[in-house]
Amino acid sequence: MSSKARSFFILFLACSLLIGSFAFLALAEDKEPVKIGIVLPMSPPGAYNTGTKMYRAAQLAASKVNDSGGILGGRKVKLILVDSRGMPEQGKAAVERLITKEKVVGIIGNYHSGVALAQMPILKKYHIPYICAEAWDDRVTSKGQEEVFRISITTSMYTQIAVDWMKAVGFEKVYLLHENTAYGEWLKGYFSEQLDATDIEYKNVMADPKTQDFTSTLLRIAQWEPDLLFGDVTGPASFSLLKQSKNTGLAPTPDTAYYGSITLLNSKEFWESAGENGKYTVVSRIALPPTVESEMAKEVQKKFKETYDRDMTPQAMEGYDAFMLMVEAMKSAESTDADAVIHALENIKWDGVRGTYQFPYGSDNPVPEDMPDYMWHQFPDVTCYLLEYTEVGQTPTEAPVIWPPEWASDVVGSDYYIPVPEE
Amino acid sequence: MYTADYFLMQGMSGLVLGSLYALMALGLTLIFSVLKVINFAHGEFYVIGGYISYFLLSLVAGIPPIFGVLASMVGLFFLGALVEGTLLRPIHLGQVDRPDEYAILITFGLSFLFQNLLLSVCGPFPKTPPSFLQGGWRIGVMMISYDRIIAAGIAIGIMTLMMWLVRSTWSGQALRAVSQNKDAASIVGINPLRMNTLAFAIGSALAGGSGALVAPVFSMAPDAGVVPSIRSFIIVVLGGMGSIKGAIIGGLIIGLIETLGTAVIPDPSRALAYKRVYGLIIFALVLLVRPQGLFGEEE
Repeated sequence: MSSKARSFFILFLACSLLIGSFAFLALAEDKEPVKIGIVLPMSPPGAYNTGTKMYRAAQLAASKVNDSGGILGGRKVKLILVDSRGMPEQGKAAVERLITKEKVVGIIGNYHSGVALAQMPILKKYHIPYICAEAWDDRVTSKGQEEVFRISITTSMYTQIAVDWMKAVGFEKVYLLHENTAYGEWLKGYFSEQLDATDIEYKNVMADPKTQDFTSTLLRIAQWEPDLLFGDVTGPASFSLLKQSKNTGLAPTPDTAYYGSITLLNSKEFWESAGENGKYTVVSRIALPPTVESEMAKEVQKKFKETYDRDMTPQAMEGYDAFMLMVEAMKSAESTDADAVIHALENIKWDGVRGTYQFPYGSDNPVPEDMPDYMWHQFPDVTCYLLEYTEVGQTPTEAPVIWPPEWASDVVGSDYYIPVPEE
Repeated sequence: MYTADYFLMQGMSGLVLGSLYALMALGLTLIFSVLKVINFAHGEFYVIGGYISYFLLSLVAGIPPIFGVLASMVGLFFLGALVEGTLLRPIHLGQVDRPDEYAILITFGLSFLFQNLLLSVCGPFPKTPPSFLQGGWRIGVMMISYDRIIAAGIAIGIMTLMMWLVRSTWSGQALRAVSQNKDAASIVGINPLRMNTLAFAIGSALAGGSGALVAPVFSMAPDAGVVPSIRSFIIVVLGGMGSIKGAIIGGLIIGLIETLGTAVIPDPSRALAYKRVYGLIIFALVLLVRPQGLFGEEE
């Protein structure tokens, strides 16, 4: 090879390398991960045990997406967590940080309604799509904010299901014990409104969710002789409340039924704390009953159990579904642009763990006048059923379903409640 | 209309709670009387006690739950000694310029550290060790669980033992001497530094024992020590800072007032919501009349 040809060959090689490098860099630029933020209570005073489960489920979802090749031409998804500690101010700062520093293109999360409501103006300011996984306050969606979608149940939906069950069983005297948080206050309001429309006599009491000892109040409630005690206090206090209710001889007993909070779905801790006292406790589970769950839902729950050695609670399912839904919207929009993602969410129909998600009411199809305002960007088909633990160690999916009638187990019949046997 | 049985049951419940409150406050007051330090991490020692009991009883199947209480007290005794010997010792060696602020910062810092360590190590889910004894003592339709009665009985036993130790043993007298006058105590051959460690270790052990006693009733979570810790401060000030008798009587008073207030105030929601306020009202009234607390000594 002549020296001229050699020089030409070297120049050609150098140019090829240079072009290749640019191409590689450009490709790498394209393969920047898609960042999705998640804000949850991960430490006190927030509901950190629920936050942890929701985060774990979202991590599982992120792994699934990445293992199957990512989205938008092979880009990985990156889940970025910021702890709200269940405090509105910290929740606001968390969202601001995710948007301005981490440059996320979508946000999911929340357990505390107060935090979700505080974050909404920030989401509006930066115009970032947001899927609210577990804040029940009707106002989260009733404000009609463009960026906000919700897949959880709302407070008014939840209370209606409970009141329908109370009427069907024929309870006459109901004592409701709520927590003195925004959630509890709303629950109290909706229950009062709905129970006023029935013949059920009721009383209520509000308790600090940090309360450890309810004995004095329970002894007092026992004097009124209710036939149902509705003990809706979340977090560790829910275990203490049930145990103390049983230990004071109030409920669950042959005379008084006990309806506990969704925290009691954590079967591992529930049975460890309650033991025999936990039998005949009624709990609502905001998910599809196992008999009608899809194969995909069963697989996800199995994977969660294998990974974390815990049953997947409905809140964890919401963490999983919220993440997947955001990803599906981006896939459908073929972009991470906020307007495109919001438009995709408004038109989405996607099968998740807790059912087929869609948001029928939004900018193209406003909420009709005869429907409540909170139906804006609200997943309307949230399923909620009531189960009753009948054996020590039962998981929520093993316990008989007692309500609604279409899903009720054979053992319940048309009574919709299995009474505590007389000793 | 409330019956006599109702008040008997509420009174019993108040005394049971009060004795558990008193045990925890006793540890706090002992630490203050000897070291002149307010331990803001006392609530976390209480929680660690509950966790030690839980893990021991979970790991060693069939072991009587009382061993959980003993293990917690022993574990917290050594943890307390370690904390005092390493983090608080500089105060008493004159190595820090502003000892009061230093003590506050160190114990506050420990409180946050332990809360977050517990969250990382033990997980976010509440833990409940097995019951001392299933069932309860029934009057009419009401019942008080054996767990509570046994916990209160053990708490009273520990407090009696503590009173005896402080009054009748050499170490107890040495602790009292250091609490009254450190310099005079050293002149008669008592090592105040050693007494500081002993007081902090015993105080921590009492908090741990108290946590282990209530864990079967209340469940333990990383932040479960916050409310009991605040209540203990109230009891200690009510009874008189540094007074052992004051901590015990103060604990019983707060337990009874909280329970009876919740039992009789006409509106049950307010009655429960203001549960912690009843103690504060008594606390404020007592301080108005006796600023040094019920059994405290004037400066």
